[in-house]
Amino acid sequence: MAGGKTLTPKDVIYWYDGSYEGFLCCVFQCYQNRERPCDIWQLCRPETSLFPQTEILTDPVRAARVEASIRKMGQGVRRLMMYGFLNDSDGKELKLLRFLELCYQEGPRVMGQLAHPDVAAVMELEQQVSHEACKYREVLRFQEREGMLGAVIRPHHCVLPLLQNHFCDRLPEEDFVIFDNSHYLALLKRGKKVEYLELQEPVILPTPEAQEKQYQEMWKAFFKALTIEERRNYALQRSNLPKRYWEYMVEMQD
Amino acid sequence: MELLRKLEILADSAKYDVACTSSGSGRKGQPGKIGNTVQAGLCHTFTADGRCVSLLKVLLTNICAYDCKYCVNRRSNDLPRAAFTPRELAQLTIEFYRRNYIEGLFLSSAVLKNPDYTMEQMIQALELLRGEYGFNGYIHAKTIPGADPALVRRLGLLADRLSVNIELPSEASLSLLAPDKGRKAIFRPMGQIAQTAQENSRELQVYRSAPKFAPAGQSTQMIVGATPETDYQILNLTQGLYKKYSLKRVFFSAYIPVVEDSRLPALDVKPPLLREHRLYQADWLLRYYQFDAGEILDKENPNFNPYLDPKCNWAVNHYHLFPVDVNRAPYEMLLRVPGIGPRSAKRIRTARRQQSLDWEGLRRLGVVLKRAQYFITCKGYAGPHSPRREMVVRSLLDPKAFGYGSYQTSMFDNDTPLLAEAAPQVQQLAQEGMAPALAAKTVEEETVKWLAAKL
Ligand code: SF4
Repeated sequence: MAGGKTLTPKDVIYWYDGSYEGFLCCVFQCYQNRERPCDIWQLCRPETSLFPQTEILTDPVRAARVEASIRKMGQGVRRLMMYGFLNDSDGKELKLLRFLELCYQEGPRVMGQLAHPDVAAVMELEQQVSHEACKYREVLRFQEREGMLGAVIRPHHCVLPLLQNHFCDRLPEEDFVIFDNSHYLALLKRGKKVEYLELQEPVILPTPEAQEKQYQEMWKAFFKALTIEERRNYALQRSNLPKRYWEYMVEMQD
Repeated sequence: MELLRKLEILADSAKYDVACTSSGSGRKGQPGKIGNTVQAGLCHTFTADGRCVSLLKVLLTNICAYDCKYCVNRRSNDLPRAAFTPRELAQLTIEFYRRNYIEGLFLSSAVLKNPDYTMEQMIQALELLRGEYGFNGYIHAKTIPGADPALVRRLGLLADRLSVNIELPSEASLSLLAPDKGRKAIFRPMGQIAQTAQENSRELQVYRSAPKFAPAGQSTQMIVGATPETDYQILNLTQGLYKKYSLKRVFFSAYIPVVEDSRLPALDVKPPLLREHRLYQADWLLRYYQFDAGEILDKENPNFNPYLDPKCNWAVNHYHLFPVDVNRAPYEMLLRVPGIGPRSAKRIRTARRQQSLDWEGLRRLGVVLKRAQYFITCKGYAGPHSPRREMVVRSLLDPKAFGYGSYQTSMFDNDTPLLAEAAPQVQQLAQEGMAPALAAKTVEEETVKWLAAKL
């Protein structure tokens, strides 16, 4: 990509389809016009804006060119970009763009500049996502129905892609589906095949069958039996496991 | 007996074993099998006492031929008894694992008939699980003191981690309270495991497909507060165990009185949770902060300061070495700055190679400056401007010790009960009828004065 070229701030808003490829096309556009938009949105929000808006169309060829330039920067940068993009907070696109600008100027050594504001900002994005993905590897609960496993999660960030390898590696002989009720996305694994499906509405898992119910009851009984009364400490429990994760955890429902 | 009831009994009997971690082993999944392991371990949930649940932690049976005085399962205690069949256990592990409730199994057992018989039962269960059920997840197995070395070896080939509990921190206490288990019965398998593991790693260098012996190493556990050892003795023992037997972890468990016995603390004595907490903090200093036991405690000060974590305590005693320049100080010294942990220290080390760090830079690295500010200098910051000693000390106090966790005493109203970890002095004042908030405040003020004078 355009080595030393710098971007000049411009009062324009880009909007794109919300995909990673789409975002990479925004980056392409920036370098083509040598401009840094004042914001990048995932959808057109005409009524709220003072500035002119440009729609950026997703073009796989352009996306691939930007992707190749990121690849050249090494695994660290690539990972920060991809994980950072899964973050669901407002303004992530501009942070990622700024970081990439710095990468193009400095090359792979940006990864050592941990205290640089543009690097720190993207690392924070990445950490929030990684942390949440880690948490969901732990607190996700499957239930079985007709031989298939199903789970629902409701994460802040789009963590499904980061759960895929973990669960596929772990349960190679199982078929399973994980529903993300915040992003209306499902990860479906059947045999060796993995696919992502869009959901129309949030999923509610059906009431468990008799055998499933039995295992849930046993898990709850086990969980209760482990508590040492003399050490009861709800504050510690909640700081280790914030309440927002409890929603779909079998042992946390009475 | 119904399986659910068995599970209740055998989980209840196992709950005092604290080592519920699944770390130390990273193994990929395999087609045709179920499970993998994650190097750092995973914690699937937390019980109402705030402890992590990673494994299905149960006893194979709680029917015991021995009579260790401190143990709920001892022969002479009247208690519901049960035993799993190997198949029940294997099935349960698999079904919990598929549902992502657990990382695997933590199997230990009371002594059924005799040590060898018990170990054979455990091995049978694990063989079924690893073989017929194709389980490739984490297994932690506790060896039974006094069992045949050949059985220990077989167990180690099935498990990721082995443990032998040393139970009590000295030989005298052991012979007083666990007369059926000799010191030898505990240290011999520990030595055997350490040695076999070493041979195994050499073997694996030559034959990559050689069977692995306990790849996640071994750990142990001891009960704290049932017997009169000092913190210094316990910490020294801990350090010795790490060195001699290359243990991965030493766990401590605050003694909870379970029986009336003149040789043990009375039934109404509260478990020494704060002490346990300090031991874990000191254990971290040994493992990750390059401290030596002798730097943390010594003969003259054989017990922990209840109000400071051991690292802050060290900083108070070595105040003359500070402040240090974060842009120059060696890594080992960064680790000793209150508020800077291994993660921050590593980031500082990386970042300062390319640019000299200032206050904002440190903040962006995620360094917590609340405590560190009194102990460092950096670009554009020459250290605290003659700080009041009281302020320095106050920033270091461990809020847990005052029974209010992370809150300030001022936000702590009179009805809030004390945390179970509150320091003994705070607990005592409260017991004598002082409002908990006032008790905490009173002890805090005294402590600040006392420590400030030490700086
Ligand atoms: S051998 Fe184990 S289970 Fe039996 S009494 Fe002693 S500590 Fe308890």
